[in-house]
Amino acid sequence: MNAQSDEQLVDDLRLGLGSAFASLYERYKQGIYSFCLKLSADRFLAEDATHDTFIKMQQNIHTLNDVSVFRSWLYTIARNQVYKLLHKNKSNGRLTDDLVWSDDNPDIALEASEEREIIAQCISALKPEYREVLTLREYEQLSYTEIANITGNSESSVKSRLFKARQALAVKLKPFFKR
Amino acid sequence: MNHEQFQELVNLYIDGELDDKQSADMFLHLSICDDCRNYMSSSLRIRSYYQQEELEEVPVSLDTRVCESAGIRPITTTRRNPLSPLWYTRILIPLPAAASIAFLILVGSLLFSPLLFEEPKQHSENQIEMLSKMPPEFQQKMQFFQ
Repeated sequence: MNAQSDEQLVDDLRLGLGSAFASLYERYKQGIYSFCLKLSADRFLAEDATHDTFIKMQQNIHTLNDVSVFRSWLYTIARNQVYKLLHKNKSNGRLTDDLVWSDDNPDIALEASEEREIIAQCISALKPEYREVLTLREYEQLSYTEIANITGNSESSVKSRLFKARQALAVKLKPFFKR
Repeated sequence: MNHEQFQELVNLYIDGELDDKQSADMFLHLSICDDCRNYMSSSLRIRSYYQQEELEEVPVSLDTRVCESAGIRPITTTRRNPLSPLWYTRILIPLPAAASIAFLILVGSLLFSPLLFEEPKQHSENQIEMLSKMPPEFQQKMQFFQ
């Protein structure tokens, strides 16, 4: 059986078909949940953000003008939900471009022994805004343009953030990986 | 150009946004600069890390919550137990192939079945000799098991 395209499912969802919602949820739930988790580094918050994302998708599907950008649109909602909840929980300091690392950045990476664990710790210590561009670029493999659409920034800002995030990580990882 | 600018080129190179001329300049610099090489290798390490990452499994409780809020019937999905992946592995094969395998198993089991072809067990001389050397009560037990 051929899977329905996003466009078809969005049309069906606009008609109020519950099955269309279920199909879209099944198709994107892991991606959205993983994205929220990587962005927030908090399972409970990621669950709430994922829940709110799909409910907003259902409620606001009529506002989506260009169905071909559904995926980016959904990730934009997820991103906004994560920041909304982070702000609500006050676990996130305000971002300035000079500040790449989170305030609550512990030296926990120093205790890590395995390579992946070390990298994961360093990434999770980044400010959410930097984790966001890294995740969208490296994990979701989105283009600069798509990332710019999702984050609401210019492409040059996306490039700059990616650069700063990678640069900060390189400095942080240097003691662990001499070569 | 300074290190910062070369590292920006590395950033673009990793994202496939650098042209050939700039790539050549960047590699020339990398050949003599440890810091920029370190930046490059670190960025590639991060990429490799993300590429090996798997999607997170969504908790069942979240499925239930979303379905309730959306007013749809709960979604039932079969979840794989990570401890027994082989048990849940499904292999798709054509029906004729499956029938042939089933036939071969059936014929094979008939060919090697001891019930059909093996003659009734006869005690060898060795067994009888060993049995006769055992204490009488033990002999009785052994005969019972045979």
